[in-house]
Amino acid sequence: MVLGAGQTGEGLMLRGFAAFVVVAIVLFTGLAAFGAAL
Amino acid sequence: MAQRFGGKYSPGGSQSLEGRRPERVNVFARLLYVAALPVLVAGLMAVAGGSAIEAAIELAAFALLIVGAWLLNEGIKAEQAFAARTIARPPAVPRKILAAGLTAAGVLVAQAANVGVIEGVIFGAITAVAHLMGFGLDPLAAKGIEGVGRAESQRAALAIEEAEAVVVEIRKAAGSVRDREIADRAEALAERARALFRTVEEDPRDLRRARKFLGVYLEGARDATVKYAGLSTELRGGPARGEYLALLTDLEASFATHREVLLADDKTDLDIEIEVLRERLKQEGLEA
Repeated sequence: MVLGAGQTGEGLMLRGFAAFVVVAIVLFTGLAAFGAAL
Repeated sequence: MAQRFGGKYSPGGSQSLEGRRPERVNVFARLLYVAALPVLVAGLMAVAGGSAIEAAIELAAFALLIVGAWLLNEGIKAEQAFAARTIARPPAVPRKILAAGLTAAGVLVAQAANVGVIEGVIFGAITAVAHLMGFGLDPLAAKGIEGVGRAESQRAALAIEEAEAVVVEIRKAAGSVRDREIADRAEALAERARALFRTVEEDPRDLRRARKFLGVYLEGARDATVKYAGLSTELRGGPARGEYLALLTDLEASFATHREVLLADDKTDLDIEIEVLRERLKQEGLEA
């Protein structure tokens, strides 16, 4: 990723982490549903 | 014989990349499409197992997650388009905010079905907050240039949006012809038009004249392209192709000169040019 105007490295890391959390929650929610269906 | 390497994107090639920007892709936003797939598999397994209610819940959760992922990616695209302009109105639908709500709802539904309602609400809330933090909000306020009236900027932004829609129609019609040269030329015309939009954005005070010109030229180009695309394949091979390409060349040149004229602020030149083009379009059998 490239830093845009007004962005700091820390802010970008925080955003990236939050985005990662969303993907992880969605993925593991699906995996849990998958596990329950087995 | 050996040939020096060079493609259409090489310097001096037929296709110029001038004025284009690379699309920035948010990897996490794309990954959301993939991350939703286990919910679909779980739903299909429930279908196979004959548990209808569970299947309906899982599939509904999957639909929420996928629509959320799609809205997020569309929202990111709209945000980039907003950022690329000097003056712009905010997107009509706040796609990223809606995406956060849908994704959270998808997680809530799936978790509530498998674990429990309280867990679902908690995970849903975490998802919503992380989504808004990670992917951000949509641009909510219009942006313009200081010194130029707000109403004026807004009118300019609206006019350019309409003109952009016509450019999209031109590219679609040209693409449907299945003729590489025509598609390339229409693409070049679209690029010229965009350069002109940027000029108008930078100085929306000329909007009235620019609008007249954008209307005549762009709509003329669109009508010609749609008409050409509508011709049967045999007719397209004939003289019509040459005539159409000549018209595109003329239009392209006019866009370039008009941009300069707009920059130079010469009223009479522009009005004469518009009259000339009207005549030209009339001769081609297109009412302007």
